[in-house]
Amino acid sequence: MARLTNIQLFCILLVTLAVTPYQVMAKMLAMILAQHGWMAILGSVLPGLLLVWIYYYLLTNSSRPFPGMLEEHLGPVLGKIIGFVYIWAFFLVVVMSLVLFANFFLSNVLPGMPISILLIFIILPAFYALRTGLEATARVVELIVLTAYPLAMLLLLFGLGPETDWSRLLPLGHFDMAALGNGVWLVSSYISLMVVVLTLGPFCHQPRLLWRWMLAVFGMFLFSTLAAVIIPIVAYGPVLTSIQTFPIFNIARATDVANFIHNIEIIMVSVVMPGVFSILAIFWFVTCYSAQQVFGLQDYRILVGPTAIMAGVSAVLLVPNIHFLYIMLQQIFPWIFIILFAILPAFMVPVIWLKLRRRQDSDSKKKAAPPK
Amino acid sequence: MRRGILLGMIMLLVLSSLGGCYNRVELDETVAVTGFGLDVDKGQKVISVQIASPSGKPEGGSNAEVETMVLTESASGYAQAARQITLHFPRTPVWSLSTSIILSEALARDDLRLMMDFVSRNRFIRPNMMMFLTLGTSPEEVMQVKTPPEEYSSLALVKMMQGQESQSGIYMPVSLREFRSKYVTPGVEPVIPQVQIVEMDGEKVLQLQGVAVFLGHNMVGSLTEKESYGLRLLVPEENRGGLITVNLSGDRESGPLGEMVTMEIIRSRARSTPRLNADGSMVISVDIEADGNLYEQTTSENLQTTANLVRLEDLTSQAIKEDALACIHKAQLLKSDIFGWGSMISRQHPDLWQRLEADWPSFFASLQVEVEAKYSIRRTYLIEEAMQIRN
Repeated sequence: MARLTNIQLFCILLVTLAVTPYQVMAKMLAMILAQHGWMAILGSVLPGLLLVWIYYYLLTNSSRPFPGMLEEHLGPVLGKIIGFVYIWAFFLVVVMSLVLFANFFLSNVLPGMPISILLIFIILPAFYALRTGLEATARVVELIVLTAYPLAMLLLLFGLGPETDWSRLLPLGHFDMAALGNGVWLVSSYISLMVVVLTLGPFCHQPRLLWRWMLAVFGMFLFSTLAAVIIPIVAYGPVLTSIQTFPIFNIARATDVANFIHNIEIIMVSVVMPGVFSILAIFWFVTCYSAQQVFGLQDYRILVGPTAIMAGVSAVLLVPNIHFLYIMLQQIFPWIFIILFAILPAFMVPVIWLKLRRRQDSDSKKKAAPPK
Repeated sequence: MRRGILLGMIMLLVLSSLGGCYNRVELDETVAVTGFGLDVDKGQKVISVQIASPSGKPEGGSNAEVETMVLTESASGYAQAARQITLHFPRTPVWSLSTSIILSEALARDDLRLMMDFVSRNRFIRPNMMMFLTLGTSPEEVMQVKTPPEEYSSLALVKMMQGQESQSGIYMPVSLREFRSKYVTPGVEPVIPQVQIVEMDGEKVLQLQGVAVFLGHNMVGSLTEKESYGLRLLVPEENRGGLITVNLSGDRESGPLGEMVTMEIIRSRARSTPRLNADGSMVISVDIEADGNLYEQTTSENLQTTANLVRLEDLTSQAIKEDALACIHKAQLLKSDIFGWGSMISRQHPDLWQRLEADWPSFFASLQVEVEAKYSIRRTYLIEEAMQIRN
């Protein structure tokens, strides 16, 4: 069985959580909450902590990695049926990452490039990483996080030029509560991508210490997403942020540090690209691994080839245009994520608790009963 | 075997990328755009592009002149007009190297919407480009004016703007990013510095002259030099540089020349605060704080006395207040909130703003404004007293 160090798992979780919101959360929250977008991130602290606790509870009270733990707690039939649904849910995240990056790249950098060529260039390294194994993938992700995450934050910081106006975040506390709820729901749905910990956590050296790493990841996610949401607003204002396709990219386009550092958007692309590779490789692994568990296969690697073709084709077919992509990102994917990655695991908590309670009762009855 | 096939496939893919980026353009097939202008003519959208000479500066040392090349095309849209240039020009213009956007007055007075869409959607148009508006002429004519020692007028305009900001301090540079931000934000209207062609010793030269004021999608008027100076004093950001002339007689416009004193402004900053009166009316109170140096005096009177320095400070404060008020009155006349007071009210009093927003231009025009200016003299440079001729 492959083994991951805690820091590797930390890096894996950080990319799964941070990459997508880094690209699109500023626009989506500006559309919902205008200058109060950052409040939705703060509002998601409690749901986020609850998710961390749910995932940790499931991990420490299960002997098999997800989705095997579904069979363990819900029985083989129901477990396999739900596990089958999860294969497609994880696969959807793979496709979403591909589509999002393809649109990011084709909107901003090379609009004339055929999407198929671009997809091949993204899928191929991930394909090779998966064929090599989880440990190699984890090592690559570790390097990517250590190099690209600080650079991504630095690029955002460069966006704070002379035209930055912090008063664009005002007025505070003058917002629609329903919009705030919508924003919190949206952010929480992307936090639920941490669900991969249920599959990868058991591969970890010290699963009992996972809660610390999960909390650290959540903290880092809050920090990076807050920065990615606030900086476009103070740089452009909420109206302009909400109408730009990728406000973060425009931050890089407008960056001009002392008339010396400018035209750095290509660095932004080179930071996002390995991030997308990471989230793609991780969710792709989880998809194949889930299929292996559900169908009782010996190795997940035989699924990498067919799923690669499926992912490429689905990415071309799933989203006809960027407008529909944002509808998916804002209205369709969050529902899927919340139901499958948050509500269903949350539902398993009382199931496990009741099972444990029953087991404890029967154990105590056995002890109390006189020996025959 | 399988690893070999996989490796072979990867090698093949890597080989395919050796030719460079997907939609690369060779250097000798391109030409740099130094600036471009947008205009309207009988409903048609006109684009003029100033092209940097592909062969560089001709032989003949520093006196050699580069022939300015300006390409103009018109179509129903700006993007279409820009692409039509390729029908008669052999090289691909590289738009991302452009430093300035020059708009015509006709376009600004007509409708900015299509122009704003063009410059915001196009990924080659950089947000840091500086914006100018032509006064009484077309962008094409402005781009054709020779601006020695600069080879290209679009670049010269940018340098003129940057140079005057620290020296005279009359006009503020406006980037596309700033303009776009103000264009879409409620409660603040954008401005663009104007440029005109004037004759000097029989030669056509470019001159910065006034600031164009917008309201919604159109230009509604212009600020004079004095009002533009006032605008610069009224922005909340710290300003550095600039000169202001006062007259010891108290009459700045027609006082005796021998009593003129030029004061330098090292830095200035304005703080605007909305104040609600008990009767529901609103007053905007503006506090301008500036400090600077005595820069030039034509009088032989010793101004570096305690009493005279206080007098000079008062005169300069009064002059700053006058210029600021001149700008405010003009903006109110044009109903254009170029100071962003509406935006400020929306942040400080959101409930009140909800009531005012729909009719803000009219409300802004009737706003009561109180301006206070405080100028402090810091230094007098290399001499302390005026030069006296002794017989």
